Amino acid sequence: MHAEDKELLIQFQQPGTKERAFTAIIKKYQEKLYWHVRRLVVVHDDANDVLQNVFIKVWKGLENFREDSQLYTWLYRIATNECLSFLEQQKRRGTVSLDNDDGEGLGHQVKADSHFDANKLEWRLQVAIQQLPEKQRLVFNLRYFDEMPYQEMSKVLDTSEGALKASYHHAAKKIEEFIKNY
Amino acid sequence: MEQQTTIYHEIKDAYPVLAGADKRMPYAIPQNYFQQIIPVMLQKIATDNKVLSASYPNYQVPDGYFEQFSASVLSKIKEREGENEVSAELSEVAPYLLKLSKEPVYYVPDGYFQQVNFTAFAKTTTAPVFAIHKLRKWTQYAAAAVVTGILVFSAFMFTDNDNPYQSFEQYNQLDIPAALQTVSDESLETYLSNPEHISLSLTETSAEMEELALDVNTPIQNLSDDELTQYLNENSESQVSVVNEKNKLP
Repeated sequence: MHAEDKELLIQFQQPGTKERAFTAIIKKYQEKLYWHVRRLVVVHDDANDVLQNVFIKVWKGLENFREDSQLYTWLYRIATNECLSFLEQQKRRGTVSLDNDDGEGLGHQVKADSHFDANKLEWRLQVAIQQLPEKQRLVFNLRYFDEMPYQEMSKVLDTSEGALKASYHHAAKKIEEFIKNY
Repeated sequence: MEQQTTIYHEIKDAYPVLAGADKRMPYAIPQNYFQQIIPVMLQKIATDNKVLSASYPNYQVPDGYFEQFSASVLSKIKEREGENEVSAELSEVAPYLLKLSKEPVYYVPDGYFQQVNFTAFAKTTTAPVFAIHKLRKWTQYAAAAVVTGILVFSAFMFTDNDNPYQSFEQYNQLDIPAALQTVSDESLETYLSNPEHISLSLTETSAEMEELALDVNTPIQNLSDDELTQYLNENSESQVSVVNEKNKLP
C-alpha cells in the first residue's frame, strides 16, 4: 500500500483526525472514481448519486478495511458494485433499456447528452462502449481509460487475469469495428 | 624515550649496519615551506569556496525534496511503463483506438469537484441516495394510481344499481345471520346454484369468476340443506368482511 494511504488510514482510526483523513481520501480519489462511475451510468446526476453512496459505504467500511490490498483497488471495487447495483435497479424499473435488445444499451443516454456530437470520434467511442456486454464494458473502461494493470483489475472484478485480457481484446476489437463503420 | 632506546637496541642487535646510519631525510624542500604552508592553504580554501558558491547558487528546494526524489522518479517510471504496456497492447489489438483522445467528453457542472462535500454527506446519511427525478417518477405513478382508484370506486358506487343497499353504513348495520333465517332453503339453493352470485372480489375478471363458480358449483349440488345452512352460518362473517373490505376502497 502507498505510504500516504497507510498514513491516512492510521489517521482515520483516530477520532480526532478521522474526518480530516476521510476528506483527504475523497479529495485524492473522487475524480478518478467519478469518471469510472460516469462512464458506466452516463448521466451526471446518476453518477453523483452513485458516488455519494460509494463514499457512504467507504465511511462505514473503512475501519474494517484489510490493509493487505491497495486502498484504490478497494475503492474501485465498491464503486463498481454500486454502479452495477444501480444499473440493475434501472433495468428492473424499466427506466432504461440495458438489455441490448436494440443493440444500443445506454447508447440512447449518450446520444441524449446535450453536448453529443456524432462527428467526434470520442463521442462515437462512448456510444460504442455502451454496445458492449456489461463485463466487457467494465474491463474496457478500467484498462483503456484508467490504465489499470490486469493484476489490480483482477482484484476489483474478482476475475482471472486471463479472462480479463480476453474480455479486453474482444471489447477493443468490437469498438474499433463499430467506430470505423459508424 | 625509554621505548625509543628499546627500539634502537633491537635494531642494533638485529641489523648493526642500520643502527649506525644517519636518519635525516635526504629530500630537499622549498625554503620556508612550513612557514608559508598555512597562508597558502587558507588562500586555496577561500578560492575553492568561491568556486563552490559559483557552482551552487543560493537556490531553494522544497522541503523533503531529496527524501522523496527516488520515490517520485520510481512512480514516474512505473507510470510510463504502464502507459507503454497499455498502448503497446492496444496497438496490437485495436490500433485505430490509439488515435483517439482520452479526455472526457461528458460535461460536468462547473466547480463540481470543488463544491461537492461528500464528507458531510457520508457522515450524516445512512440511507442510499435516490435522485429527485426518480422520486418525481414515483410521485407520478402514485398520482396515476389514486386517479385509477377514484375511477374504479366511482364506477362501483354509481353503476351498482341492482343493489338495494346503496350506503355502506347500511351494509355494516345489516344482521346477516338474522336475515338468513328469513330466507327459505329453496331460495338459498337457487341462489347458490347460480354462478353469477359467487363473486368474492371486485378485481376478479368474469373468466376467473366463471372458473371459480364451476369449481364451487359442483360440490354444492352434492351437499345437504343442513350442511349448506351450517356453511352459511359459519361463513356469514366473511360476507360482512367482504362488505367492509369494499368500504375500504379508495
